[in-house]
Amino acid sequence: MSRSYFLMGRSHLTALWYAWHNQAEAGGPPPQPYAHAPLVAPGTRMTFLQLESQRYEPLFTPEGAFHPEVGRALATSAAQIHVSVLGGNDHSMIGLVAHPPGFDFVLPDEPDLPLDRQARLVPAEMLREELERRIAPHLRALALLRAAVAGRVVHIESPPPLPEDHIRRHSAPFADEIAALGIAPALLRYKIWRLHSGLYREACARLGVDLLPSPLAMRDPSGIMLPFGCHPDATHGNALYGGHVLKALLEFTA
Amino acid sequence: MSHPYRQQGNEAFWSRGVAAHDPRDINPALPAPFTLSPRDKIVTAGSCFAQNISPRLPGMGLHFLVTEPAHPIFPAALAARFGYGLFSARYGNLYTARQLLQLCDRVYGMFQPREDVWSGQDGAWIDPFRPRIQPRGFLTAQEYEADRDRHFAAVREAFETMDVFIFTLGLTECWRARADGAVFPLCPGVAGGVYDPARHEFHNFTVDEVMADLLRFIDAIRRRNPACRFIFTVSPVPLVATARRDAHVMVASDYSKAVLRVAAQMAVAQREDSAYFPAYEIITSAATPHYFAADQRSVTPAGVDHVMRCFAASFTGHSAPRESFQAHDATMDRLARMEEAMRVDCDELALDPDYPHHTPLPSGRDAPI
Repeated sequence: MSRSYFLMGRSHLTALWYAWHNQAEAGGPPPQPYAHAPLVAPGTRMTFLQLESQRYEPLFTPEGAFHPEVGRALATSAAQIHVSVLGGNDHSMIGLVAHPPGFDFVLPDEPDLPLDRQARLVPAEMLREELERRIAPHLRALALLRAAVAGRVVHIESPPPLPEDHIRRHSAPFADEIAALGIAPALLRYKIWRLHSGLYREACARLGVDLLPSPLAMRDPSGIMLPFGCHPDATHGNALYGGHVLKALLEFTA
Repeated sequence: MSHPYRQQGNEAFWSRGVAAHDPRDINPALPAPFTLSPRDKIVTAGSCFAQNISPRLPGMGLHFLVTEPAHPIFPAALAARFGYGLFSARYGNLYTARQLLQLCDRVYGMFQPREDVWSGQDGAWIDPFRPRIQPRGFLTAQEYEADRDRHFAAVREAFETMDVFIFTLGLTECWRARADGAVFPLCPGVAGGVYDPARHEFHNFTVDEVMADLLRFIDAIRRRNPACRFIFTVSPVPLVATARRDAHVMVASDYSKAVLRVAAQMAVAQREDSAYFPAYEIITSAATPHYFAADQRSVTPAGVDHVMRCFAASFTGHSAPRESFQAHDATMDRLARMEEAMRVDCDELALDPDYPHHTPLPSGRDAPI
């Protein structure tokens, strides 16, 4: 069946674009290491709008609309399905580096996860509000996207936190902070990511947007990204990860 | 002819102690029985007016001890909405002397109220003894219990390490549990819980009760922290509402303040190293400027300034570094750097020339399979 997608977003869009681009260049079934995430879907078309460009700055007009070029791209889009990869790294602002003093919180969706009693307890609601403040521009963009197009809109959950060893090897541009303070415990980073995802989940429900979770196959049992899904930096997924997301997207929208 | 008034100083005479001064310069506080040094760790508690005192202490060169601070990743305004930094620990407003004593009893395991949690909206857990400490309450039972444990530990640390305790008495009216006498800062049903006349009753504390609670508190603290000194003030902020049926709110308010004022004086008279500071008089006297805002209840910043100038004159004369703000500033700087780094990181990913099969990212271009 022929389907067309319009994907827009920022840095996390890149992994998806590379997965799709590599496959397109190969001209057929994707080569290794994409064998685990075949994207064979004849007739499928994908259009990518990478907002991480000065061309689209500022993203919002003073009247609260999208940048005119983004507005035009959406107005002329004939895609059946529009996909948001907007935002998604704000959990790392708080969760990547071990901001002193050490802290922890009770994740409302999974309150029985271990709690570090030696760390400073912070209220989940307070952390939620801080994340809410940080992701507000992305949710605003998501709402504009929803309002701009007819048909189905899907938002893709941001990649899970990356493993500590990987971050340590690819710590730039956070190298100074990480060297000075260390990396936050994996469980804390996972909890913050979940809290962050919960805010997008709620926004999606309010806006009538479907949420596509990050692929379980790319996470270890503790919810951290598997090493082979990591881009050589501290926060992003790579093309293999992107391939898994695209595969999941095709299934989700089948 | 000799008589005792001849030995009195200027402050004893209205003409010289009040009328002779610019209203903004009247200082009814006599030299305090003890002074505060920059090394003294000061803990604050009390009614809403007391929230004006804490943030001004560092600016006076004094050490405002905070044993339950917000994590520095949070902006100050958000922290304040969650009850951080208003007082030394996150107990919220302690309006009555009984609340203060009860807190002390609870943190040392001497009293465990039977009604110790209320239901809030969407299943939230509300702490009946600080019902507005979080805008929507605690989200889970686990968090509620863990936070209360941490809060109690922070209060114990404050009580055991403080050199000076400043308490601002606010109310005599309260609501309490009939079962065990536990007092609540707000009537059940106002900010959580359900008001039930079979379980809850109104009580208006008397002078003797307030004084006894203050003395019991001082004694309880000194058993653990013998050198601690105490400063009591009375909030000039009138009652927002009275539960009495026999009095106008203005009359009920004046009665409450009179009780608190007398009880504070009587308590101070019975314990050494304790002092009364006349914040109430500075704000409410007809001789000083009108220091109430348009609602005739909120105290204006100019009024708070007057109070704190007098406080400084009575108790201080030194300056101290503002260590308490340094951690927060450092974290805010770091977060700003990380925001920039994250932006750079994201930009770099999009433009990474080393990434396999790199070509410039298309914008709105089809990439058919």
